[in-house]
Amino acid sequence: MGTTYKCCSETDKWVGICDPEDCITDGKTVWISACQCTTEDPGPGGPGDPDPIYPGPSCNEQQNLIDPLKPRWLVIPQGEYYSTSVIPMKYIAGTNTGVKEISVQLRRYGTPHLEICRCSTKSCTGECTVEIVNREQCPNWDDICNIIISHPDLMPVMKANTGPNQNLFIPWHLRVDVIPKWGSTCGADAKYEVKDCDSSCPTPRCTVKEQDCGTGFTLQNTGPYCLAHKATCKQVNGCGKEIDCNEAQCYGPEKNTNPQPPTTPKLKIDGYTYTLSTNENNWTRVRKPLPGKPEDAVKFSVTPQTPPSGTYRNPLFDFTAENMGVGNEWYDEWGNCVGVAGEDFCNHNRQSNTTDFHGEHAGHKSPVEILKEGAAGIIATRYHTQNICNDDRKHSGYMHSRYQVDRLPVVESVEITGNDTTLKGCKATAKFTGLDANNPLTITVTGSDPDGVNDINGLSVWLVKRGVGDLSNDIDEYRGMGSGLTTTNPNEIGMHFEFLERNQAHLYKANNENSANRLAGWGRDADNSQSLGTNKVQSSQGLLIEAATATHRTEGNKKIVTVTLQFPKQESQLIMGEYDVYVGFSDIFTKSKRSAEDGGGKYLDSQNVKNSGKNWSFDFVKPKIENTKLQTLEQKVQKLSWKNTDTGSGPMNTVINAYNNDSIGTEILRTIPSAGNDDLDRIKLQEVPGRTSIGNMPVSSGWKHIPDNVEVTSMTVNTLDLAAGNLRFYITLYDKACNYKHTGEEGEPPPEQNYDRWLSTKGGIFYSQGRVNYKTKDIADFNLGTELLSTGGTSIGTVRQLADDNKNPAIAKNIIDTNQQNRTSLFEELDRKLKNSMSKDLEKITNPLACNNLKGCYFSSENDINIGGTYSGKILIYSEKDITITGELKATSNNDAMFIFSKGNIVVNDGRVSNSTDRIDAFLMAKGRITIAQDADANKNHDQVLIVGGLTAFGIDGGSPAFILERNLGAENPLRPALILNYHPKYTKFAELFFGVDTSVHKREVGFKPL
Amino acid sequence: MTTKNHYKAQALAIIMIILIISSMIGFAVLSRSQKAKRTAIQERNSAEAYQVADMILDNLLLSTLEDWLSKGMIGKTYTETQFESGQGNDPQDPVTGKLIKTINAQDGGMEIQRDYDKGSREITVLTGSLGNPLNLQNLNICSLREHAQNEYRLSLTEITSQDIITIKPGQTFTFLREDRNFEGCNLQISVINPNNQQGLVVNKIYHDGNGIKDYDYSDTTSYKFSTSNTNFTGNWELKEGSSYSHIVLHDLNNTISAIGLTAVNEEVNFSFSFGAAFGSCSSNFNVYKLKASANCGGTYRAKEVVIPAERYTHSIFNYVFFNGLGNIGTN
Repeated sequence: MGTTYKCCSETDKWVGICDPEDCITDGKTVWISACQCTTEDPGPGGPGDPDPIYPGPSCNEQQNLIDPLKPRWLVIPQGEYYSTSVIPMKYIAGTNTGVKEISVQLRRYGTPHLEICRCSTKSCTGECTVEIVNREQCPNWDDICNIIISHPDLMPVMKANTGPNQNLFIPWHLRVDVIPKWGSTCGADAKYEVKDCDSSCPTPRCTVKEQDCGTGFTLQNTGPYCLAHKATCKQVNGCGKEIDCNEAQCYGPEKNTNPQPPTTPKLKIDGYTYTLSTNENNWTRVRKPLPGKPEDAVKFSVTPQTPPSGTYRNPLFDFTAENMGVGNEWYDEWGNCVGVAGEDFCNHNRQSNTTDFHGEHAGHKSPVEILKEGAAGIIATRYHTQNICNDDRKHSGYMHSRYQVDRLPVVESVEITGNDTTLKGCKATAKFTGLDANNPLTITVTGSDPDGVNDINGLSVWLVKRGVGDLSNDIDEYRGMGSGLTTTNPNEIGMHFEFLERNQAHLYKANNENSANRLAGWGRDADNSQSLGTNKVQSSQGLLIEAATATHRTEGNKKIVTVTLQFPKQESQLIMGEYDVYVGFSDIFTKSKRSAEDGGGKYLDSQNVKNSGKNWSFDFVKPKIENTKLQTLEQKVQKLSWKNTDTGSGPMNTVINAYNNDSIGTEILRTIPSAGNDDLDRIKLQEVPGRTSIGNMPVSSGWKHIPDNVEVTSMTVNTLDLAAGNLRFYITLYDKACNYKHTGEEGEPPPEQNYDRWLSTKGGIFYSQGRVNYKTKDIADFNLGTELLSTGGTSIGTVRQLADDNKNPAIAKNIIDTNQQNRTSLFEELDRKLKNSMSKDLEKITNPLACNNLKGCYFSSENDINIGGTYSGKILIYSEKDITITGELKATSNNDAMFIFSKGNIVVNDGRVSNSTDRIDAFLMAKGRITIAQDADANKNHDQVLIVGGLTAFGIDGGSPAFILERNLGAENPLRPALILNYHPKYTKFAELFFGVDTSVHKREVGFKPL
Repeated sequence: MTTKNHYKAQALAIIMIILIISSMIGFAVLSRSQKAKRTAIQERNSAEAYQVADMILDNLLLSTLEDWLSKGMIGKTYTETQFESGQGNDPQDPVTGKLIKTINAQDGGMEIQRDYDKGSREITVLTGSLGNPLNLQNLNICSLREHAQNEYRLSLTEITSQDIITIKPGQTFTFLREDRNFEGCNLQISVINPNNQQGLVVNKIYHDGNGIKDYDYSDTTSYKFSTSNTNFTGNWELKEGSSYSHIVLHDLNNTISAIGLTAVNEEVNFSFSFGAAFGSCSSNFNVYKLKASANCGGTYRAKEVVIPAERYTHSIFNYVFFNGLGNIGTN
């Protein structure tokens, strides 16, 4: 539906002519020739007059099939004109019934139309012209259906038709009637008004000036995006009215200007931001990026000097990098966006003020490749913005920022040392640390820094177990450092020593014991952030390093760091096997704090940690000695056997010690295996030392076993003349790390054999001028004595206490015995009496073993006498010198007795071993010494000796003691006394035959009576 | 003037007092010195008397008991005083009252007294007859000529149960059974003034047929007399007593050959008695006592020696082991 008209009346009926002003539209003022009520917008062409008879095709029907959309008025007079105006018109008259005639009429308001032209399809009256529109627009008719009628200027016509009393300056109506060959006459109307003054602008027209655009606008064509209003200039027209007589397009001003170059160039590498210098004489040193990181790990950014808002569009950045490498290796012309080797880049027109530090061309180098140690470069950055009004851009100048990549410190040498010889004298196998050997371990690292030794601020040391540990995931990483708690992987023991003043350092430990086996960070195990923490390194399973300390010093351009690792002295399997040593210095870049802008915190990157090529082995597990046995093969032969076990580095040395607290200095001899050198096989026993001295090397009171590193082995020893004390064997096994274990270490008794030689007496009085120290064994009823045990000394032993008290002796110490006090005169008295007897009652015999004289016989010599055998009778064997009992001396009957009296010494030695008991039925008396001698070499078995009678050694003019027991049963000593002395009272009786009676008297004072 | 006289009187009194005190001190000093002199004289006399008694015994011990017995010494007492030949008073002279012994010239070798000899030379004569003359008349000490009361005596007697026998440490006094009957007899040994330093080992030796029985544990017993000696430990039989300690060997029998007593560490003085409640077990085992005494200046000293007639072997043969010198053992 088109515009509705409110016509002259409310009933919408045609009411005739009315004032067009009575036609009120809903916004459009459309005057038609007659006030017609229509619901349709009559359009420029108007509805035309209705044919009252038969309308024929209506105007609308006539215009059917004719391009309805085409505007009918091509030039329509409308608006206001002045008398000087030219008022053309041009109209397409169309009908689908064929145009017959066209009438152009002018009409004054309120007057009938004045026809000014009538045209046929060929010509026109008046000044109108016609033009046939292409016939194709009327396809189905041969007639002309569209014809253009034009008039060049209606003003003269109007003037011509305006009398003197008529007003030209009125609204005029123009009508074009199209008379079809058939149908209604249709047409269109136009309305315009003529003013009596020239309301047009005078000439020349005015020129719109800049200020006409108003504040903030300009006539300058700043661009299509700044189109603003049109500014006009005013002039007074012919009507005296100031009217706009000219106009010009105004534009908004172009605010965009060349921006300032950006500032604050920053290179962010691995989370560290460095503000680069823009001073051409100053190159900012930056860290070397971590290898293996993605290309966006390094970013370059700038801070634009942003123009005021609203003055620009689309700010962009141009980053141009000229990376020159090390020593200008890549130096080329500026702006070569590829560079010599793909190192350069031109990241232009970037919206972001940050760019990755690499190009995007094929074959570009990564940031890590560009920012290698010592490399330098310049990054030129500019900032540009787009105009507000057009698409042109304005650029800032370039800011040149300079960088130089830090050179990492270099490790020049690594030495690993320790004291490979323990306090026990064990020398560890090279490059082994045990509980004592090479513990503590010293690692001396020497290095330098191409950027200056003062850059170096720490040292990382890693112990990595070969074949198990793997630092590949941790080296090229940076991790935070703090005071927190740590647990360290025993297979990857990481330590970082941060240098402090005064050559000191404190320890950070790797916190890398987790399921991912990754380094999580470095901690100090400190109570608080201020504390330096502990110098222990520990894992969740226990302590790894008791104390890890370091000192550092600078010598010239060298940094020398001495790391001391004290491992625990307790057994542990946590650190075991061969470890590679990784070291690396940190400098002020690889270990440093991040700024608050970067998030703060202190970090250490380990890219400089490298395998030093050194390795070291650890073993903190002691070896074991098992199945220790001591076996007596013969009296003097012991066999010691044992088994070596070591789960760590393996057995290395075995030391066998033999001690005897009671036989210090006594020799024993290793026989199997023999070193072939008596000096090595024969040892002098010493007393059991403190535990820390057992097994020491060089070996004292013992041997270094041969071979010393086999698993199951044994040793045979001949105890020679050892006759006292407990022979204790200690086996000490050292592994290659000089960890050791010796028998008896945990309180278990060492294999031992007692060698106490002892004697037993039965009956009679036992007396010794000095102390007595025989270790009587609990064998049968043997005891040191059974009656009186006496000594002039302070001790006598060992005396058993048997269950039958009747068998237990009385003991008297520190006593006086006149037989000892007067032994010289006693012996002389006895000798005198013997001689007297020999000269009177005794029968002299030549066979010392046979006497038939009831009063007794004697065998005497001024020389030494050897005697042995079975005898009968009562016989005195008398020698001015020594007497040797060379064989058993057995009485034939209990009524037989033999007294052996020597003015020298008596030796009991039959010279042969029968592995039984040598029996001597006799009473021995020697002026000097009585010796129960060995009947074989010290290293052979000896026989036990039984003397039934008595033994008296006066010790006159001889050595001390007067009695010597040399017979030694070796390992059988604990089982049998070497000498048994049984008293027989017949000797007390029969002595009278040879020695007469005791005629000594004792004078005693009786009574004392003074006045 | 009165004042002056008063002073004079006071001075006189003071002087008198001083004199008296001085005199008292002087007398005291004189008394002490005299007493000391008497004491010194007494000590000298005692030492000399001891020496003379000892000398006489030593001389007699140069001969044997058998010699003494052969001289008939048993039961006799010999006296020696200052002897002057023919200078003696009438033996019946009641004034002097001296009894002069008349001795058979064939006995004892004593000189025949004649003509009223003064004093006695019996001991001198005896020593001469025993072959070891000792002239006691001319001694420089306790000289018989020095004091008329100086006198020496000598006697040989059989011991009684009151007599004391001394055993030196390590020595043995042996009771031999010989032919005596020991069956059911008791031998009591009384140790005189026992102390904690003494010990006594009693060892019985038995016959075994014609030989000697082997040793048995019960054959020997060791006695001590106090518990306070820490050097005496082990299996001692304790016989405590203050003046006496009695050891009684009961129910002996005739298998015993001998009983030996060996002193330990200190002299043991003992007496013994041998007997039984019933039967004849009395014997003094033929033990004799020779006693010599001397009186010098009124101080009497005497020594005696006990000598058994039945001797046994030396005590060293009671030792199963005797080391006369040095320490022995394993170290």
